[in-house]
Amino acid sequence: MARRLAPRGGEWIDRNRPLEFSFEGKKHTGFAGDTISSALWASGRRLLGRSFKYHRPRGVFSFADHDVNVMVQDRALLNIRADVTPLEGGQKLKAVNTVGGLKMDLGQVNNRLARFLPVGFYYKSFHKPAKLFPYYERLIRSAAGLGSVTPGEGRRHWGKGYGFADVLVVGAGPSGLAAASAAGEAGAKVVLVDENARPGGTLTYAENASGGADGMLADLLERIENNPNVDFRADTVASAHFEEHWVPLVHREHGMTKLRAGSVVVAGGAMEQPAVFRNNDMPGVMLGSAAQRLIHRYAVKPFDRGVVLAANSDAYGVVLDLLKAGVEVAAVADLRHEGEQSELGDAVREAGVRVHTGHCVYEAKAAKKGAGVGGAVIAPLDVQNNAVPSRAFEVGCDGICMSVGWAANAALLAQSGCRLGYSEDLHQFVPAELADGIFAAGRVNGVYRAEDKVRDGERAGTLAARHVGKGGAADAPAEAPRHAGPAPSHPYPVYDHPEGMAFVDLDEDVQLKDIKNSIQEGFDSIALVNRFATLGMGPSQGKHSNTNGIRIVARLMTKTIEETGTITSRPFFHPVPMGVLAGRSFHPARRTPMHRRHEERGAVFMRAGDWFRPEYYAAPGRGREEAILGEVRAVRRGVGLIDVGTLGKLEVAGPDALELVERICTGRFAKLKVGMTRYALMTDEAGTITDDGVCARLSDDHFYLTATTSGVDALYREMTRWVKVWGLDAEVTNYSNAFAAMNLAGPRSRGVLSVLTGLDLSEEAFPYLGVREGAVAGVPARVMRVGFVGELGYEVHVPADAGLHVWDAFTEAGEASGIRPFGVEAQRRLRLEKGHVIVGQDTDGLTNPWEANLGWAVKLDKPFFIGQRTLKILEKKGGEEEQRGGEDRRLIGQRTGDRKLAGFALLDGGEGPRPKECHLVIEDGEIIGRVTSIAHSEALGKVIGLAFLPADRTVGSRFQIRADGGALVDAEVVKVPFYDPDNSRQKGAGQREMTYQGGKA
Amino acid sequence: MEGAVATRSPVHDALERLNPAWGRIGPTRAALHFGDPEGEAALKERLALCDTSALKRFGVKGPNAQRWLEDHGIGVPEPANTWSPLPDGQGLVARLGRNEFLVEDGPEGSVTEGLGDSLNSGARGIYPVLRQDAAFALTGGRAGEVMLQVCGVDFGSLDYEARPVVLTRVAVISAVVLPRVEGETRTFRIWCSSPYGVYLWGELRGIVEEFGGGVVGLSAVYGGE
Repeated sequence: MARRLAPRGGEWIDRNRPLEFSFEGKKHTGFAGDTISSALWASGRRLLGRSFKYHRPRGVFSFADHDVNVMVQDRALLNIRADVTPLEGGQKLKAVNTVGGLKMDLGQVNNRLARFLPVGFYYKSFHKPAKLFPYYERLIRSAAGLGSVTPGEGRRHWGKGYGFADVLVVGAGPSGLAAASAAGEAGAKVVLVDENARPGGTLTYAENASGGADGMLADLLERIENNPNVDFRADTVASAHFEEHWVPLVHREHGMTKLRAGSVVVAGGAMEQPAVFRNNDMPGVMLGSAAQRLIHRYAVKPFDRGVVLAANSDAYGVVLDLLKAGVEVAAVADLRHEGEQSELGDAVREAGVRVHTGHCVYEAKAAKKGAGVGGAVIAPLDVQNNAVPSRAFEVGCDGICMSVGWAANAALLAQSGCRLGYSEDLHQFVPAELADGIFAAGRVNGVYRAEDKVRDGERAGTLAARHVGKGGAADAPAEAPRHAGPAPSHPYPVYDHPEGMAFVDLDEDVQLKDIKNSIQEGFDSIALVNRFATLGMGPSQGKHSNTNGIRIVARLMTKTIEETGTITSRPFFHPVPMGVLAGRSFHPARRTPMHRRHEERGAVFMRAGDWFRPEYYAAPGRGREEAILGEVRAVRRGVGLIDVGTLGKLEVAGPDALELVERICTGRFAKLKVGMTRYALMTDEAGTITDDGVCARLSDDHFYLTATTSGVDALYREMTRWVKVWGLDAEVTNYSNAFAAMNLAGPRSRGVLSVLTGLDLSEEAFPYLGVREGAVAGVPARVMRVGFVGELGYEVHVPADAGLHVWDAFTEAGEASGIRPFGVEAQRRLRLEKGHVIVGQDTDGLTNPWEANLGWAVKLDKPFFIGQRTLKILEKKGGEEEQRGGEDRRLIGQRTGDRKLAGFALLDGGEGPRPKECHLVIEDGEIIGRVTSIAHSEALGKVIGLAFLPADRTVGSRFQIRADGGALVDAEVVKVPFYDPDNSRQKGAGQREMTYQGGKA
Repeated sequence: MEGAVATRSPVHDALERLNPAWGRIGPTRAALHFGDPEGEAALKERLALCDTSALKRFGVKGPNAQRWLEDHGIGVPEPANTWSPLPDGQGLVARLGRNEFLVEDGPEGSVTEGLGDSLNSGARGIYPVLRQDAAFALTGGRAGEVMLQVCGVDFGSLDYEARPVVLTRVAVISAVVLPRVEGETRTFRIWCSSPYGVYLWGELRGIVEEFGGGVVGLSAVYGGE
């Protein structure tokens, strides 16, 4: 531990808990409480990472969660920010952005080629010739990603929950602690968050600069600890602000809390900003606050001999801290010609430190051995703040601290709708107009003295509590204390160098010359420079680059900072790991009551919306096709049982139930007899098919309406809305989840059902399309005779909790008849043989009833239904077409050139390439239609399907379908239904022995 | 062929895997405990999840539903989205809207029995609602923390004296939540559509266990064997 200091009061490390870890294959030891960077720096390492573009060496720089060039990977966990992530024993760390390791990184070649890689290089280069684009894409993707994914690594889950507070205080520095205390004491429930491991902010490291810190932190912490209304959360980043004070709080271990607050106090402080000079990115060059954090929190000596670049009082506090830590301060270069006129300045001078006022650090020189700084070139400044290199001199050192100014941590303020204005007194953006319920305190408000920050926090906390009705009329000034004395920030700490490498943005290696070149190329606003030069687009989101970027653009464009404006702050202003965003990833799934039986029978499930449905039932030694074919045969020859519980099921009751059904459905139901069902089709106002099902009349004012699995929720919402809009006396109840349903289908279905029910199933008593209520297997049931699959069939609906009982009863009762469960795929094939349309599969968002051959279900002569007006217009157009000599409009659609859903069969008997659903119909190289359903029919011995075709294609017309690989497959329009065209099987011929043409046994 | 009808909780299979001591509420099997009644009683105070789907319930809606319930001796709460206890102290009646009600018996209750039959007369403005809920109880000192993981409602801000009922989303599915505070014990009753039962049970159970809780039987929540 080469740089570890002797124990000191207030340090965050636990020296009794040493932790061993490795970095780049070498073993190190740190302490519990260390961050990864502090432990490495303490061990004497200076090269901690590589920059993104040029792979330049990087070390500790901000030490404030912005050192994005020092991200590391611990086995499967990537892109760990080493500057703030706690050290853990056993970590096996390596830098993320290297080729062949950190020390011998082959990517360093980019640094040598830097002059050939100017700003915008890859926008201009990597797009031609076009044939090389795949190569470029791989190259860029490879270069752009950080870290390497570990395939096969299990998913790690982070929590993601909600939270609520009267007042959220962001930042637990002196102003945040005071704000939280004041709000809590006013009776508000307060959540106080800070991204650091401990509260205190600047009081935990900048003891000289803050002034009056003795006892202040202890007092503030005591107030917080004694206040039960304040909930303090460490290591937590308030990473964005959304409408109505929704703020995602991100904790690296616990995940995200979506906190909704009544009011928000932003006391996030200010972020120290670097100066721009040549090689300002070298390991050893760091912000003054970074050096102070190393010393005070982690007891790490930043370097042995240093130079401090100063432009404010804080710099002199840094000098004193360095001296106390045993660092030799070789020189102070103060950008201000007047220097520091304060007790701090006197103390530094009295310590014998050489202070060069009106000087800058012009260049950092590399050490002769190892990575990092070996010296600082100090140059005087002229009255225009330009460096005078001819009078520069070099000072040997292994570290340079920069304390030249601050930028308000105002992203949350900006996202909340606050207006920020530039203060020429502070050289900093401060809130000019706050949004409702938003309050600012401390440095973000331009308040820098510790006592003032506490007063400002008290003020903001009191106002925030009052905003949520807590604390009555407690006295609180509306305005923040005004800053007195010299500005804490320098207006332009930027010093150009003819040899470049003066970095404005370390994330993306954006140099000063890159910004100049961007503007020369016409990107003449901060927003354009931001994008073209990637200024502020790295993981730190410009936290230490935007301020200087704006200053440089303003200078080059000869505008004021106010005129230049700011870079838009968008959520999330601090990057959030994808895993945290994903959180628990709720994926709702619905299972029918028979799910367990399906599993036991080897069901292969498919998702229908969020339902699990058996696609087919697999069996050992039987392939998918064979299994499905077996299920089809069972239905056509004997009896099959399918779980249709996912169907939509709506009950409509009340005096206006009929009226509602009439208005929602296109057909006519007034004359539907009690005990009968009828096909029901629904359209929207544009006449487009939205859903279909069966409408059963249970009594004069009581209907039971089925709908599609995916469409029922929308249908239910619409029906309940229309009930209110039309003022109907009817109740609609969605029973889709409450009823289990199963379809018993096949010539032997009647026999199986008769074992379980006392209902009279005779043809006369229970005809095709009838509905009956009665007990099935002892359970109250609704039984409908429907024929979706084209066989004698009964759809049985029972309460969900009895679903499994009834299913088991059918299975047992049908055993002698060879009953077999069948899945969705068999059902689709069976219905396709009948030419039955599946809404959503055979229709799309534009299909009207005539296009789908469902015109017979539309009764335009009834008083009203949704979509009627549009369909009447279409029919009129169809009539005009007819007068012009067009063909039968019911068959070919309504408008010239329109499409229709037509049945087809492949001409090759299915021997060649097999088209699939959604494959296109091609004619003369043009798309003229598409396949909506296709399958091999064993009954017909050929491949059949439905396809949208031009409306003028009649039976016998031939066309071609483009299958996978581009093969064109010949097909012919044929009549539908393909199978049992007179519907004798489903209508009641079930009592007779019927001949099934397909297959063998 | 018509044997005794066996009805099941939507999460019956998940409970069965925990090897419960089964009891019966009407025709439905209910998990009474999982072999450690005393441990479950302690768990209930800390954090526990219980399947209450087997409890008998009855739904009714329509403009005349309130009067009809009152005619049957069931007092209903006046404001929408509130609840009141049934006389036995274990059952409850929740008002899910202006004209919709959920009546649920406790394990020993019988208020819901026969209510449906009496509606078959076809009274105007009264519509029975078949209730086939998956129903759970989340209880214990940390129950509120679990709810914050799955629901965006600020239950801490509700007026519990007013006996609120919240129609919301829990783990992104629609649910009815009835929060209660009795002494130090917080309980959330949750009802959702039965097909989502397995899903919601799994999500809640996972979070409950993550927070140091576990599954308990009906006896831990309602007492009895």
